[in-house]
Amino acid sequence: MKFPRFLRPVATRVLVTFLAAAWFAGCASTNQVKSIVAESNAALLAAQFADVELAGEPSVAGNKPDWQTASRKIDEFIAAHPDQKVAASALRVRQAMLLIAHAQFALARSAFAEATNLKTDRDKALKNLSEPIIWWWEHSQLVSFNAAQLSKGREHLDAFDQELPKLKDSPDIRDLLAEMRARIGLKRVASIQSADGVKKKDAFVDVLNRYGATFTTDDVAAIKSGNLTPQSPAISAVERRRLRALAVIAKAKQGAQALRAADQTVALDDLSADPAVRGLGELVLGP
Amino acid sequence: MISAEAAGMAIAIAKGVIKLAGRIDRLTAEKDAVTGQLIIPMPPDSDAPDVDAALAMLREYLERTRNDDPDPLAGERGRLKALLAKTPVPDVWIEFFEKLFPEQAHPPAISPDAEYLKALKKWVPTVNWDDNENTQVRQAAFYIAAGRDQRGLGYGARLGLLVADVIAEFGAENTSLFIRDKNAQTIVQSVLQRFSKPDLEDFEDWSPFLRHALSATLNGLLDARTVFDGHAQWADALFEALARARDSAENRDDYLLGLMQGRGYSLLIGEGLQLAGETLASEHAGVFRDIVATFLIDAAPLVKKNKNDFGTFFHEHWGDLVRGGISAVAKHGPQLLEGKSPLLRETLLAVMNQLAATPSTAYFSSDTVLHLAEAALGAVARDPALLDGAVGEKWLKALIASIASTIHDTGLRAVFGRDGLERIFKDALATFAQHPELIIAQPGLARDVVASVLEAVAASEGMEAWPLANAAVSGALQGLSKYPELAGTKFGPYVAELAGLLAQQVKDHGLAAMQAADLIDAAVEAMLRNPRLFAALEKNVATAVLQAVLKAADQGQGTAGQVKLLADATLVEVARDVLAVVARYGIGFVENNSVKLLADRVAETLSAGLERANKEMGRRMDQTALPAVLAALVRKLLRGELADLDPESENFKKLFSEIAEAVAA
Repeated sequence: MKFPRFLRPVATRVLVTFLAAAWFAGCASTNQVKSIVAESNAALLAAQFADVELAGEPSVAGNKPDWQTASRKIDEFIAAHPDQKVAASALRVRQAMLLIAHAQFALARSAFAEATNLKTDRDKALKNLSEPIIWWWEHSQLVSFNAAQLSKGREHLDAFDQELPKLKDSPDIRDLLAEMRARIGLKRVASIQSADGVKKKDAFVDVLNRYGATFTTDDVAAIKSGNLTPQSPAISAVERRRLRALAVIAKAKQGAQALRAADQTVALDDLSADPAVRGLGELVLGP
Repeated sequence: MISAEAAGMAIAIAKGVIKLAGRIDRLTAEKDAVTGQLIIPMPPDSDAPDVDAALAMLREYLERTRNDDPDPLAGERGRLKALLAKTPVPDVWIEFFEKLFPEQAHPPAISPDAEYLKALKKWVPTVNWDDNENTQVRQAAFYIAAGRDQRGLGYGARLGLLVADVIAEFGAENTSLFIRDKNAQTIVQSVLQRFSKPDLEDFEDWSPFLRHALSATLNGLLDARTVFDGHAQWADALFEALARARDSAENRDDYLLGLMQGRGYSLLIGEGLQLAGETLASEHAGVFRDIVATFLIDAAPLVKKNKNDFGTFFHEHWGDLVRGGISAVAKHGPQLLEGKSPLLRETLLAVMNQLAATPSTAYFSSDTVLHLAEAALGAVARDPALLDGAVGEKWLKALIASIASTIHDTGLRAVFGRDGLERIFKDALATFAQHPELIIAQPGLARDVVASVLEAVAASEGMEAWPLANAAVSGALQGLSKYPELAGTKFGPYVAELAGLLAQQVKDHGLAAMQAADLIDAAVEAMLRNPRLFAALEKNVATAVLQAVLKAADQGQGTAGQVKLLADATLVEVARDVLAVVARYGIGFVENNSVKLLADRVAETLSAGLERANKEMGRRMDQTALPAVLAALVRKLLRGELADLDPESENFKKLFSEIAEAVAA
């Protein structure tokens, strides 16, 4: 092959400049998606904490996140890129969570319905559990579940039980959904009358068995030791699991107390033999 | 000044970079959307009291306000009281509770995420979690990762494929810049063009990508087949045939890949073309091409439609069928190729259709298919009427079904093993191919002769059965090919019976498998010397005589320390000579007496002879003379010249001495 003779300084500079321009011009979609991810996350967190502000580019930093704007940007991106089916599906799941967090449940269902080409454990699990998640957002603040809601809640717990075993390799989403299952389960426990046989106790044992199975004995030991200081402010999945468990354990203690008051005390032997479950049981049932 | 060539290359590079940047943008946008962190808030939870506590509060309220005037429950007291008396309390209690205890029913909601933030503040006090300067740190604490991506190809690999794809496209469009050789340019360009379509980064798993790569290479080579023109006419013809078949297929790229993936292709290339080049005249290359193309085109819908796994069979054996065709043309002349509708094409298609309709063809080896095709083509070359309409269909069905049912027979497979059975069938089908007349008259011969022999041998359940079975099958078929008139006699069943007898001897009496095979050879040879005696009578004379020889061998066991005279190769020779004598002189004896008496007398004669031989060995005779001496005694018996069978009688001693001395002379 003949080495090209055009590699002379001027020509080379022109070519390099042109190529660099072409390259940067070709990053538009990526930048759009990055912006969508950042704004939607901020809007999701803002649903819980009113003081959240946008970070990043100086033009937007300090502004209050707006879920409607974030949702609209997702719609616009998908409309402008009809060939990007995989990206669109992932963005629809993101949009659905955004809509749920802002109580737009019907729109959230539509967004989930359009997420048809999902690839990751997180997105697939969220879509598969979209009905239980939406239902819990709709019912979590009720005084108590009535009979129909208790029954529906049980169905949803079963749906979690189908999904969680698939998520062993994705601890972030597995832990979050396991916590949600535990909270639905504890709400059911608080809504079952002790006069209704052993249903209340059985429901409570089920919560501890399922939730405890997501922990390791190291997790339990760390919680028991009372030292949960993370290695750095960048919280790992394990550290988050332990820190978030504190509130669930506190909530579960209330359930245990209610059962004791009704002479249906739950003992460690009522739980599964899994050491992590027994460890969680000690934390919940102990003093 | 920049040369035209350099300017062209610069433009090509610029186009490539723009394309590359666009596609990388698309891929990284997808990556960010799919793997981007996501905050998933947990809904706020109610801190309302447990239902038991709430019911206790209602009961306490009812009691506490029992005497209040005016009654705060007004007309509802009785209803609430009745409600609380039930077990369990109906759901309506919730309405009462919300009305009577609004603060307890709707306390400030507890946010699990706020609780988590509280824990963060406690355990990570070094960060001011409320400060908006730390917005990103706070968000990161809530991020939920995308987790496992269930696709086999990660974004790193797909980015690599994307770059490779753009380079391939660039290479395809600018091949001349890199490769000077015109032929090589054509091939590389053709392969790269196919390789770069569709966009490689769209593949999500390795398997379809590798399939695409292989398919692109094969199809690219085929597209560039003009480069090979003139190197070998038969190779050109095959390439052309493949190209035509591909162009007619519903899914063009997959069709070729399917053919290439099977073993048939390598076999065809390895042996078939060499044979074609050596034996077929070059003017027939075009006809061959048309035939193979038609054959492959017609196979496509059949392969797709067939539910009996014919697809796999075809992909593995299409080369064998074509090779069988070439071989048959070499043997039977170009008449198979001639005419408006060449016999080669018609027969190959008919065989293929029949194979597709026959279950159990998956057990066919390459040799089976090759010889089957050869045999069928040979038969049709002799008698083209065999292909006509229903007759042809029936004929092929009988031929293929008889082979398939025997090869598939699980009992036979258990005894002979897959390899043994295939070896037997390879030889049997090779005989059919050499003597197609065998299956013209009797297409079910595989079932009638081969299977019956194998079943007889299998019944003994002995080991090392296949050499004996192979010898019996081979002997029977050779016999039938030499004397076609035997097809209507009991020749086949009698050979099977002999094989069964010998298999039992192998199992029970320690007869070596190879000697059993030699014995069956000897027996078949004798049977062919006198079919009237050995194949037409109601009783199996050959089996009776062989039994007599084996009985004499058993009875003639030497005493301890003595050498056994009738064993090993001598046994085979004695059996051969005695059977030959019976073939020549036995008919009168059998007609005047019976087969049973023949067997008894032969056994007695041989026993007496062996007893004398033991005594005369080293005096008047040696071991090599034994077969001739014993055969001569049997000849005397059959001619009525031997009545005294007492080995110690003077008559017998004298006769034996005369024979021994005559043989020695």
